[in-house]
Amino acid sequence: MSIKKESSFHREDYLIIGSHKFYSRLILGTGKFSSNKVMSESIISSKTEMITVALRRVDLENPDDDILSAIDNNKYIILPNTSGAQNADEAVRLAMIARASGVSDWIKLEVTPDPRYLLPDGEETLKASSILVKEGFKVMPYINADPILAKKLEDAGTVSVMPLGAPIGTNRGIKTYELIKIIIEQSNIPVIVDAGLGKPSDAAIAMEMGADAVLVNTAIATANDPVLMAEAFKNGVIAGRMAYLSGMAPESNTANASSTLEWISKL
Amino acid sequence: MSFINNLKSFNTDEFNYVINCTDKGEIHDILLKERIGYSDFLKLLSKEAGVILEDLAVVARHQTIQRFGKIINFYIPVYLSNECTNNCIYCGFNKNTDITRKTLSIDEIKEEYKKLKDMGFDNVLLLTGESPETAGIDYIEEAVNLARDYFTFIGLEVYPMEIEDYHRLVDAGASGITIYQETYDRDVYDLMHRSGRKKDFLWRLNTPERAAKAGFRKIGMGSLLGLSDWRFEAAMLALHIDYLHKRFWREEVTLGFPRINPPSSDFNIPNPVSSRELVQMMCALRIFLPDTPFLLTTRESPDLRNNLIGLCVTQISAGSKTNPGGYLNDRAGKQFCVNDNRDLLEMIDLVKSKGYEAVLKDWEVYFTGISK
Repeated sequence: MSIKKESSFHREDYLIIGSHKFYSRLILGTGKFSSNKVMSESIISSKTEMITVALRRVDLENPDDDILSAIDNNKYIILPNTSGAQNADEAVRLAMIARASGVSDWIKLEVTPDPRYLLPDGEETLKASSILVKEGFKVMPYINADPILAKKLEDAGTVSVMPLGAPIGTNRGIKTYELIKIIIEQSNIPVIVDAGLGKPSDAAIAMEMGADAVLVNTAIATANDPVLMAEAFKNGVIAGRMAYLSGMAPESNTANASSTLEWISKL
Repeated sequence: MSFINNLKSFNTDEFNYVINCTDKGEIHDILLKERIGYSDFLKLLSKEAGVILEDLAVVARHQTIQRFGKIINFYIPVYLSNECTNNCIYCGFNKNTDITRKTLSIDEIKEEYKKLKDMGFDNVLLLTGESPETAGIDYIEEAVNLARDYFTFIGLEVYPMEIEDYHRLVDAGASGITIYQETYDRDVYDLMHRSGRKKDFLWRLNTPERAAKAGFRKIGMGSLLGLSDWRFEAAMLALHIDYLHKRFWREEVTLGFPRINPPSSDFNIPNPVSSRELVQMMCALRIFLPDTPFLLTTRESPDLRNNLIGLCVTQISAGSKTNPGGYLNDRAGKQFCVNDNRDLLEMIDLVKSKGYEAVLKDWEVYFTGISK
């Protein structure tokens, strides 16, 4: 990865996903906005470079489709998602038709057989990932915070893994902290914390942990002022990233960190 | 095992105690919880909860927006046939009622579909009475097949069937099925349904389960409000949905709240439900079932519909006709009277003016039945 930990935070800090360079580490979801106008303004104030769109909401036969026409695909990477797919077969078919219609060869893989908590099915996600990687897609799978599955997906050739912090739409923050830590430690591909981040401080925590990026939808789209909240998340992500790069002092040691231990070097 | 066992073991005395004796403090404690259990839910149906209805509404609204966003989905009912062999005393299609009977021909079905597609609808609900001779499984299957050429989501509200028949409809491309129990009160059920296949309470009660086994992805539930005590109906619906959730985790249950609107004034509504009571029922169910889509028909008045859109409803119909051929101005008999005549464009404007996004497409043709 191209992160220079020794450098201060400037333009050198970028993220590469599937050979594309991103300077923003905030990906925006579009599912819950009250209008395309609010969505477009939130996109701008978030400074995001990647936006995910549910294919089930897109009318591929109608090129003037609302959501897609509201997003400038010269400026942003559109990341279509397979929300609503209950198994690998449905997700693969959806991805194929989206690419054939010229939407994108990126795909955010969501396979959620349970319509209530919308939790991802690891087995079917792995199956669909293997197929879509072979078909040449840049696959970004939404998964439970399962370190073994994350490694299997990496082996299958996905360009990132997207473990959940908490179930979609709950705004509960990073409830899977310990497992996401392991995923980050073991991963050679970007780890993007997806789902459950309820406030900018949650995004900051994910970034402080060393996550490469976060994806946010509900917390921004359903805020009273989504445009302001999008900016707040942008800042939360930057703050967390800067803290990570700065090499935070471990919490437990801060009390005596400044005491003089120079004598040890003289032994 | 069947839901009837749960229904039978429901303790009515305890329920009545909860309805009459829950106090405000208890309700406020419940409203602070992130998720509530069944016993808490029953307290939200209490008389005291009705007094502080606005407090319930605040939570219901918040939960709806958090789970679904500021989104309203649209659907449109298509009545294929008003022929019926049942004698249900509240219904416009009652076999003894003197109305013009009609079952749409294949060409008429296509014309209706085309007209609705041109208006902008992408989600249809196909309805029939219970008349297996004139509008049976083959006919409905054909109607589903034809609908695939026009719409992404196809739901059905047809008479209860066996699993194998349902399976054919799922294979044909139907994703949703609605089966309103009408009432969970067995005595009232018996009084209301005088003859015909529908008289069999258990056959109807077990229909959602058969539908789930057949692989429908969405199962619409509801009671016809006005037949029996609304609090009892709400308690039973929640119990029934909980029962289905635990057995059929892949299926999504949706809820409708039809209040009786008989097409003729001959029918006296046994237990009328006021708008305030309807709202309490919806709020309590929303707080208990934060993930469940709530549907609202044009039975309700424009004023109430406008308000419910910003409360806890997630899917509405617009410009509905409740008679076969209604969109082609046919004069066949209606099932019930519509109270809100605004068309799709007017409703989209209304939804937008309330700060909500109007969504017409929210499904994929590649989403097929749940394989068992």
